Amino acid sequence: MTVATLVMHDLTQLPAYTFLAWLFLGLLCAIVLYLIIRTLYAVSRHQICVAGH
Amino acid sequence: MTMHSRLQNLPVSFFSTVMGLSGLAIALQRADELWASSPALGNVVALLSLLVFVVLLLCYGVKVVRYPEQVIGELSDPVKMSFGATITVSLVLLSITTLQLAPALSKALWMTGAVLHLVYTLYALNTWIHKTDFEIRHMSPAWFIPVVGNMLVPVAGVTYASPEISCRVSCACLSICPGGLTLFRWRR
Repeated sequence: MTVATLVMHDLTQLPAYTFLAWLFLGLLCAIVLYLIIRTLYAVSRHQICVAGH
Repeated sequence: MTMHSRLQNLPVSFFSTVMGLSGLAIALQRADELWASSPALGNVVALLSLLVFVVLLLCYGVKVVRYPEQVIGELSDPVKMSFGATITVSLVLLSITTLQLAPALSKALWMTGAVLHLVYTLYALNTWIHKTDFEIRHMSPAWFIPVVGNMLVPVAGVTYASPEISCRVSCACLSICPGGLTLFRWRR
């Protein structure tokens, strides 16, 4: 969705798409960063690669 | 817990981390092209995702050699089986992230990923249709991974192969979803 919005921004140059592109890119970065932190936290607590997962 | 038992329990779904990082890299690379606002950030994330993939592939390769029964169990499990496609989807995504960075590597990744993903999609479809111990409660959003992964093949595919191949892969993906799921529900 982020890439599609970036492409639409490129094609139309509409301010709405510029805003949405920044919003989605920011959200995407925040989500991936959050997941990296959660994964590293789980690794540090030895909660990953355990039986039953 | 020992290193051996950790390796034994390394889930194939761990490759989804590469999918997430590659997706972020593609978006950042695209933003970089448009705004020049995040110079090299997209490429850094692309290289990071490649590094994570190599490390995971080595670890999972050791698991395949040492604990083949665990791998077979994982790839025949009704729920975990779909996550096997995260390896091939990662290859296809990495071919997109390296499209400008390293075209030769990108082409090799795309060819390997596209062929392996097609094989895995056929394996998954065959299992869903013919295996009798699958139940309706085993259906999960993860089932979309092998099927929807085909939608990514044309992204780099139009650069490395004829557009007809990309078109057929996309059409196959679009037709598998409704057809396959309807067939599965009917057979249960």
